[in-house]
Parts: sequence; C-alpha cells; structure tokens
Amino acid sequence: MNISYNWLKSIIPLEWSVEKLADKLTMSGTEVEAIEEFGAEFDNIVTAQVKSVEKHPNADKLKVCEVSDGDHDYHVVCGAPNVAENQKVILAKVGAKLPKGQHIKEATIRGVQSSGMICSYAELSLGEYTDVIVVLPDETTVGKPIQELFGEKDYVFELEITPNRPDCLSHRGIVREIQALGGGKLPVPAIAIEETGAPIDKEVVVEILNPDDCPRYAARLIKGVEIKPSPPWLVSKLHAVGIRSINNVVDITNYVMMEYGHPLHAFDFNLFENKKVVVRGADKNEKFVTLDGLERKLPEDSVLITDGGKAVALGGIMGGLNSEVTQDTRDILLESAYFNPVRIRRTAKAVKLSTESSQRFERGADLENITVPLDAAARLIRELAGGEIATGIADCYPNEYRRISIPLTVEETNRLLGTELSLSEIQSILESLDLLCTKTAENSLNAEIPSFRPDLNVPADLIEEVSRIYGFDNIPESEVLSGNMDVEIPANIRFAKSAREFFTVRGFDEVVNWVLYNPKKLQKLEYDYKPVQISNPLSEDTAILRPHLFGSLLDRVAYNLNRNVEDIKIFEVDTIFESAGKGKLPAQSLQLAGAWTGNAFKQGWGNPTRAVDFYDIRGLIEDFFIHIGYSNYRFSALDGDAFLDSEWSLAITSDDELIGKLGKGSSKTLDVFEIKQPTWLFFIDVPKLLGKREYIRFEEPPKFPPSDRDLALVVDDSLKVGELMGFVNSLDEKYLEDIRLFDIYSGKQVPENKKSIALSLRFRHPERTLTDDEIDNAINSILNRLKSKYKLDLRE
Amino acid sequence: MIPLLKKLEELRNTAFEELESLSSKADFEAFRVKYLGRKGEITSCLRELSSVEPDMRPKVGAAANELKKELTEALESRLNEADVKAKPKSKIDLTLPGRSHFLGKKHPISRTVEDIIDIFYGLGFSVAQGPDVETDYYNFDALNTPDEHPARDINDTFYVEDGICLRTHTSPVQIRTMENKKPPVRIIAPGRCYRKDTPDASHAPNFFQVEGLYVDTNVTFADLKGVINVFARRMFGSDVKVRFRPHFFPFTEPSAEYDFSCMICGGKGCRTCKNTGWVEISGAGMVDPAVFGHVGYDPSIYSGYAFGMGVDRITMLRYRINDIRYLYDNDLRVLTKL
Ligand SMILES: [Zn+2]
Repeated sequence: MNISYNWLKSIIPLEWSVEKLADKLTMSGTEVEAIEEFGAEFDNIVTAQVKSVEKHPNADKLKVCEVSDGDHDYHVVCGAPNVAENQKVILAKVGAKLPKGQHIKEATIRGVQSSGMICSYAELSLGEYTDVIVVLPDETTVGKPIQELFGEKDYVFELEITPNRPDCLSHRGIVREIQALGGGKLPVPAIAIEETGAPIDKEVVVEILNPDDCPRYAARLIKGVEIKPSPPWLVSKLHAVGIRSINNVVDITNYVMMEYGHPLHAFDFNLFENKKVVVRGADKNEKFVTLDGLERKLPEDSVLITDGGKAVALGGIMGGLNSEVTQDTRDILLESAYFNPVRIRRTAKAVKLSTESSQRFERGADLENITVPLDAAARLIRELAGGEIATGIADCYPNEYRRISIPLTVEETNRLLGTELSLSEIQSILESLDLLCTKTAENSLNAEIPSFRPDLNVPADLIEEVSRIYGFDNIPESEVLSGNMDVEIPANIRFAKSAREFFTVRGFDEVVNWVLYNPKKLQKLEYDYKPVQISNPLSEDTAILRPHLFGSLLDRVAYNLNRNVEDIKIFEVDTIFESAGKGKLPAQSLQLAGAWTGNAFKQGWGNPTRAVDFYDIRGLIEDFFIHIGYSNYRFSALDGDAFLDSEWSLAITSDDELIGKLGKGSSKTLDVFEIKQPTWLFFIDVPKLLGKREYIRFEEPPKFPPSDRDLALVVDDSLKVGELMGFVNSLDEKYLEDIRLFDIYSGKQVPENKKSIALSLRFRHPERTLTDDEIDNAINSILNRLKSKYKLDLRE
Repeated sequence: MIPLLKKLEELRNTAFEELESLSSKADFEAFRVKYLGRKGEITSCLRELSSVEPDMRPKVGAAANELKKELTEALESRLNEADVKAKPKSKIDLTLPGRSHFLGKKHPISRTVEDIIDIFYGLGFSVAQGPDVETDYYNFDALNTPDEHPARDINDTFYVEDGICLRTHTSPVQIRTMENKKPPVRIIAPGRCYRKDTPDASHAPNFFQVEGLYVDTNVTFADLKGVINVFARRMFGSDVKVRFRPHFFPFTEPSAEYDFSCMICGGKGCRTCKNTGWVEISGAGMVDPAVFGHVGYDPSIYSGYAFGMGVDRITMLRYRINDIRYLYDNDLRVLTKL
C-alpha cells in the first residue's frame, strides 16, 4: 500500500524526517519497501489561460495557442486534443525544468515559434494521462505558481502491510502506529457537516435481512450534486497513492478510504425504484451485472444490496451497472457498511473478483466507526460537488459490536520475551495503540479491544504488540547454551555427506536439480513407474516429481555437452518419489546416481587417456563400497532396463534384492536426451543399501609372509573371467587367500579366438611359512580342477 | 733488484693473466707444460739460480718455489671450475604444470546445508526430516493457517490431490517432531519446499529451507536472538550484524523477519541490499500457542522459538551469485569455479 508523507503531515505535525519515519515503521513491523519522490519543486510553471486556439499551418494534429499568465501572452504549440479557448491550464514557461528533467526552451515546431508548453499530469509527474492537458477549474487565478495547487514536493512510501493488520491500510492507521512509536497524537476526527436537506428517514429506509453477513449498514444522502472532474490537488493526491481519478464523487470515496481505511460506495439514488436499501443474501443461482459490465453467477448467500426490488450492488465487492454514478447523476446515496470477512472472501473467490473494497472487507474493517468516513465523504462531496446533505444518517445496526477483553500478566510477557518489563511499561505501550487497559491486580491488566484490531484475541497477541513497540532491538540477546541434549543426525544425511566426499574426490561434480520433472521423456523411454502428478503444475514440463535421478542427470549431460564441456562426471544424491495411491502421501526415498561421459582420465601432458568404459564405472562403485565399508553385495545380470543397455550393464544386488544398477545408457536413452556420445550411468537405492549395511570388524594382520604365484592361462575368448575366478574361489583351496586378475591379452601371441589371462594367486598359512611343495601342490590341484571344468592351456 | 727476481715477478704476472684466459682442457695442459713442466719456465729459472750471488740464492729459490706452488694451486682450481662447467646441462624441468586428475566439487547448496547442519549440531540441535509432499493439515492447519488463507490458493501452492500439497515451507516438520516427542525439543530440518512461482532471477518453484525449533520451559525471544546471532557470525564471519523486524506469520507470535548486514557492501548500501545495508534472510518467532494446542503441549508450561532460513538465498550471498537459476542450471563451467 502507498502512503504519502505530506498526507500524514496533514493529520499530525510530524517532526520525523522521511528517513526516520521509514526506519521507525520498518522496525515496528510496517515494512517500508520503497520510497519514491513525488512531484517536484516547480519553477516557472504557472496557471494560465488559453486566449485563442488556431490550427497549425503545417501540421494537422498540432494547434497554435495564445496563452496568457496575466502579465504576458505566449505563443505555444500544443498537440493535446482537448485544448480549447478560455481554458485555465498549466503553462511551463521558457526556463522551466520539468520533474523528469526536460528543460523548456524557445523552440520552432514545424516552422512555428513556441515559447513554452501546456502541461499534462504526466509531464508534471502528477498523473498518468499523457495525451491530454490538465484543465483547471474556471475559478482558478492565472499567474500563480502551481505549488499552490498541488502542494509541496512529496514522498510516497510503499508499505508492506501484513495480512493481520487491516487497520494499517490508511493514513490515519499509520498515524496511530506513529503515535505508538512516540511521534505525535492521532487526533479524534471532528467533522463539521452542514446538514441542510430533509431528515434522512423521510428519504430512505435501510433494512438488513442477513445481519450475520452484514451486521451494520449506514448511509447518507446528498441531493443535487454536480459530477465533474476533481480538482488538481485531489487528482494528484490519489495518484500519489496509486489511484486513478474518475470523477469528483468517486474520487472522494477513494480519498476518504485512503484517509480512514474504510471502503465506501456511492450510488446514483435516482436509479433506485424504492426509497429503500434492503440488504439480503443472494438466492441460489442468482445472477448480477457488476459495473464492469459482466454478468456474474453468485454463490448462495452472497451479500446483495437491493433497492427493495432489484439488486444494486454486490455488497463489499463491487457496485452494479444499474446504479453507477455517471455524468448525469444528481442524487448520491453514500454507503458505509461492514460485511463479514469470510462471506466476502467466499463470494470474491467464487466470482473471481478481487477489488480494493473486497480485499479490505476480507481482512476486516472497523465496524464501530463506519459513520466517521461517511461524514468525511459527505462533507467533501458538498464542498467539491455541491448539493444538500440530508439530515442524519440511516444507520441500521441490529446488534451492537461487543468488544473482547484480553487479560495479560507481566510474568507471561517477560517469560516469552526474555525481558524485564513492568506493568506500567506494558500498559503504556498498549494504551499508545488505543487499547483501553484496566489494571486488574498488582501485575496484571485487561485490555479492551476496539473493532479496528480484529487480530487481537489472546494474550500472545498483546505480547506481540508490546514487543514490537518496545522494539526488538531492545530485547536482550541470550547466550546460546547447547545443554545436554541427545543430538542426532539421521543416517541418510550422514550417508549423503560421505557419498559427496567420495565422489568429489573421484572427480565427480555434484549437481542439484529440480524435483519438478518432465514426464514426457520418461514416457518415451517407457519407464515404468507410478507418477506423483501435480494437479496444477506450472507447465507440462514440470508436472511430476521425479521418480529417478537418471533423467535429471542426462538432462545435465546434454546441457553441458552443448556448452563444450567434453568430459562430464556428475553425481546427485537426492530424493525421488513414487505415488503410493490416492489419498496417501507418496513414497519418497534417497537415491545416489551419477553419469560419466568423455575421457576416463583427465587429458594433459604425460597422462595417457582413453574413453571411459564399463570397467571404470564398475571399479568406481566397487571402490565406493570399500569407502563406506560395505561388502554385502554382488553384481548380477540385468534383464532389461528403461535407461540402460543390458549388454553393457549389471544389477547390484544384496541378498537377492536389487540395490542399484550400473552400465551404459542405451541408444534410445541417448536419443531421447539428445546425447551423441557414450554415457555411463549408475544409481544406488540408499535406504535399501543402509538396510543391508554391516559393521566393519577388526581383523588381525597376518603374522607370516604370503607366497604369490602367477598363472597365465589361455582360454576361449568367450569365457567369462569373473566366472572362472569365482570357480577358483569356490574350490575352498586351503591357504588360498586371494586371487587377482592382473592382465588380459588377445592378439598375435595367442591363437585366434583365444585370450590369455594372467592371475596372481596368494597363499598364506596362518601359523607358519608355507613350503614350495605345499604351494606347488595347491597350484596343481587348482589347475587340475580348472582343466576338468574349462578348456584351457597353461601359457609359459 | 736481482734480475732473476724481477724475471720471476714478470713471469707471475703473465702466467696468471694467461691462466684467466684459458678454457679448454688442452689449453690447461699446455699451460702446465709451459710453466710448471720439467722444461718449463719456472724450472729454467731455478736452473739460472747459479748465476745469483750465493747469499741471495735462498731468497730467490724460495720465491721461485712459492710461485710454482701458487701457480699449481691456481691451475688446480681453474681445472675444477672448468670440470663443473663441462658437465652436460640438466634436463629436469620443474616448471612444468603438475599432473592433475578429475576433481569434483560439492554443489554450493549442499555445502551450505552441510555447514548449517554443522553449526547447529554444535549448538545442540538434532536434524529432523519430513515428507516433501504433505497433507493440508501439516502444511497449513496445524500451523494455524486459516482456511481461507491465500497461501492455500492453487495459484500459490502445488497440489497432488485435494488436501495433499507440496509443502510450501519446512515448518510441517515442527509439527511432526512435536507430535512424536515431549519437550525439550531442539531440531533443525533441512529440506526442499515448493511454491508456484514462475522462475526468474530470484525465484525457483522448488528451493531449499532449513527450519529450526527449540521448545522447553523458559525459552524466550532473547534466546531466539542469541541463536540467530551465533549462526550469522559462524556462517558469515564475526562482522555480520543481525536485526529483527516485527512481521506476521500464523504459526509464531511474536513473529519477526530477520536480516543480516549486507556482506557484499559491508552495510554501506549496494544493489544486493537495495541500498538498505541489510539483506533479508527469513522469518522467525515464538511458537504460537495455537500450534502447541495441535500437538498437545501446554503453553503455560512450555514456550519455544522457531525460525526458517532460505538456503538458496544464503548460498547466493556466500558466493555472490546474482541469479538463482545458476544454482539449478548445473553448468559445469560455473560449478567447477565455485
Ligand atoms: Zn549491500
């Protein structure tokens, strides 16, 4: 909401500077988001009169005007369509500087001399109309500096009013805050009103049929007004706070709203068929045409203002087209009412119509004081639009508002704040906010809450008021004591940290991607999952929560390849989601996944490199499991996967349960993600892994030295080496401690369709050194059994 | 002067002069023969000793032997020098760049979250977690958010189905934690949140927060100020100042927003802090008694504070990142330099 500094000063004699006021407001909860200078020091800009208007000889759209400031006549070329003879206007003379920096100089426009400029509101930074000039009231004296019309240079505060503080949505509301902060006293409104018309009850009767939704409705009648443009000061004041000028009566209702905070509505009373206002709830399926010309279907029980017959306004939200104030309006019925916030919110939401008025009633208006703004508006209408004010107010107020009273103790205040405030300090703060306090005991009081503070209901609400006016800065700052709490970090968070440490050291950059994901790519891959579908997504590309990290990782691979990053090693450890069925929260779990494309080793001088392959990614995972101390797993064949090429991929299992996969992205996957080079992937299901994790146990180091023997075997090149090594391990050869593959070769030295594998076997006896004979025997035994199982030759 | 002594003196001058000019091994050998050899200059001088008067002979002989000794030593030392010079030049080049391997980095968001956890763990806070997809009850109702509150609107909050939304803050973890444990409760809850914001330089529809909660007997607003101050100093250094401004949240009362003095400009004013010298971090406050009501804590016995912090924002401030999209683009040209 926008607030004018000069406007505040017209209510109290404020001595605070703009900066001080901004700081005080911000630090007490009314955040000043921006301050803008408004208007300017006008120099050489005066009121003037247009004496004659002639067509420009060389330009159709321009006119040549003779303008007088009383002392001199000036030739001025003007392009505004509304310029006319005898108008009172605003003339920027040669030498004037306009607020936006433009200097007015002698000029020749299309061959005609021009000595000055007739101004629009926009050129003066006072309004938004750019193409029409300001036309001043006929009674304006010419030759006066225009400061006399618009007032001094102003500052507009853009305030963030929190939703609990409807009372701050006006200049007087902000002045009440200033009062609490010690900047002055909010004057009680004293509105001198001349009631020269007939008694109101002879003119109009107000009746409320739904007092729960409309507990109070007050109206005044002003007869014989003249609808015309507002005077400049009103236009510019409204513009300062962001409201567009419409006509004098509508502008006055807005002006009063910005002063007092209460929305008013003006009806053309001559369009009422009965001398009545009847407030009622809408019938089921009832329709109404609002003044924006749209017919709206209303929810049942929406508040309708009627003339006893037809509806004339959708109460608290918008007037009707059938009772709108127009140029021809003579008699004004001015409404100031209170509507139930919940009812207004429901109707506004249902008809998708949010207005300044509906927003204020939704937050809660000041029920007790609705006649004050009504008087202020009536007085201004009489002043600016003429007419006679009927005597009295038609105020229908079936049940008087009952103020609540909130008890507060010194002890509970200090207990929550950590302060040492006394009762009198607390009381004076609450009273500065216009809450009526009564001391009830040595250390307690009762605060009576007026209707403008619907946010105050329980003692904590009062403590909050005390704290913010006392000042958060004045509340001490305690030392933090960690205490003897049992502190815990969950296993998945510790796991993620450990994974980050391993993979970054192994050259992987961590990525963090959006969880909101695109289902289309997964569809193309025929990935089988139960999507967590967002019913109101931002776009189709972000319509699900990702069920797997591979998609995001592949997106990032493509993104970086397109930016000439050639070697990509990335990993992510984050949450994935699958639906658990309607009405249930989805299943969510932590996944660790990575992608690797490009070189296996970093290219550089003396670093031989090659493309990453399957064994790099397999070795990586094996090493990771060593890093976290995990050995209860095995690799097994993968039968089909949406992302992976099964020829080049394996499953990671633990006790026959799948805990992860690794391998090559399939050609279809690479197609879908538009990646043009082999890409290797892995993932691990973290909760399953953590469920299988075992404790690492201490092992005595061996006491006797090992004996190593190498075996070079020539075998069919289709033989799976891992299977052969597994077979050797399964032989349970006594003292065989370890078997390692240290070379594999096929080529000239080996017959066609054969390969040579070099194994290193390590033997060890726990209690003594083994003899050569013992080792020879063991080797022979192993070889014999190998030979009986596989076709193989020993290679020298 | 004895002519032989004078000759020796001249010999000394020419010999030393000549020695200076020599460089090759052959030159040194020729020099040795010329002066020090059996038929060399000094030997021939000694032979002429007989022509000297007998009482002067020892003096001249000593001078000749002295010169021989000096020349021998000088030649020796020149030969050593030349020896070193003659060695082939070293091919060791320590100026080459070191061999580097692929090195990865943690994502800046992870670094921030890990650091926040470390700081609060040290202050006695456990880490709690809750689901990203929440019921309206945990995300709104139990946090005292009115039925008609705009935050519940489908324009602001993502829904999976009626009554089930993507959590808009990490605050539901407060409720889940308090439901399962009696006070004292001291936790932080890091996690993702979701709001229906169109992505731009400062908004992402999914982002990270850390929630904090401490409930016990006698927990005060002063304690909240204390803990946020410690956090600010540990995260951004001891120069950082903190200010609390009153604000409104349905689930805390009093409620505050807290700002850190701008670490970009040191509080003098810059674009990041919109010339205010302060950067907004997040919201905090004392747990609203209505929230305690939902979890069965007695507000007349217990009080507590809660705070949030925007991880993305803190990360951007730490690394001077001016656009949140850099955090989620995962452009390796950017990440590897952070
Ligand atoms: Zn700054």
